[in-house]
Amino acid sequence: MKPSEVILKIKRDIEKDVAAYASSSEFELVASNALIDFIKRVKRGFLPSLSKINPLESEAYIKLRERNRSKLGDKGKPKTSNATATGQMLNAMVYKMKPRGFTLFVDGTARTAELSGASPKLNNAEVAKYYSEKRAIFDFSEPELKRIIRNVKEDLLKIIRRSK
Amino acid sequence: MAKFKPYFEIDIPKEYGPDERRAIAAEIIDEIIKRTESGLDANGDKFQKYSKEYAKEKGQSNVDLTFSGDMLAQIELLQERSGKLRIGIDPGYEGIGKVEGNVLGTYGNNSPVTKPRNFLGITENELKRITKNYPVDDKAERKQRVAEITTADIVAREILNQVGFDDEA
Repeated sequence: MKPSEVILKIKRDIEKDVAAYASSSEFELVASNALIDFIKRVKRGFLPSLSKINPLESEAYIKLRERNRSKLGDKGKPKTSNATATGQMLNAMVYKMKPRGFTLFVDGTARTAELSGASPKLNNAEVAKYYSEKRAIFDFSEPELKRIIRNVKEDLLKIIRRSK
Repeated sequence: MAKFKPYFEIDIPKEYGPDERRAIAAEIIDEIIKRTESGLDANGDKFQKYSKEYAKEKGQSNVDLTFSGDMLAQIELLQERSGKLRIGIDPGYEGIGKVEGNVLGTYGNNSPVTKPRNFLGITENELKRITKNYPVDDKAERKQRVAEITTADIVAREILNQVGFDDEA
């Protein structure tokens, strides 16, 4: 058999198992880890391209963050943009399993008080939409994509070996 | 001081063909990244701890050499030929100074300022575990393994096409 024929045969042999894998707890763990990796990277101030998230421009906003430094979270700095003022938007992020994949999104949950103490006018999904117009954080970086492939590959190899 | 080489070379049996060498290299690279993320160096020893300041900036104390994730994602097969693999990072990579700092413990200095965190390498046991799937005396078994690795990669990329971000639920 030619190598390409062997590959097609393996693909055929594992088709049902791959469909089952897509709804398994193992694949859900891949999604959950992808979400963790995404949030870690954004909190460290990186865009999907791994360049720094656009710096904060408003002096008034930087001063507001300075006054509320203790609320900015463990990696928060007043002058650095890392999508974390109150942390509510990133905390509202969830994953959703799909038939053969998954997506990440910001859930439209209600917000508690804003950093200024003002009552929130937008929910978290709306804040995310507004935020991403200026800072396009909502995508995977190359290392994140590679990690997803690596994790899925590892699971698939186990499936292939079991099917032998 | 000798010029820093951001790679390592491994001797492998000359019986392995190009497809097998590439498949073995892919498995080695995955193993290096997995091991590094678990906090172990190229000898299988625990990495030197981060300084308190850096751990605070990073937001974690466990050492995984992953800040943006870029450095480990750069590890690749640089060269393969009969009996030999060269794995590492392209010397032209913009973060090569970071690689050198970790591997040699120099971090921008001429000599080491801390114990190196060398992640570029593979232990004998790791290599044995990988190459046992490519028995020298069983070409059919080796071909099967290459096909399995290739299939897993193809299917994983198909799944990746269904992965992304949504505006909302």
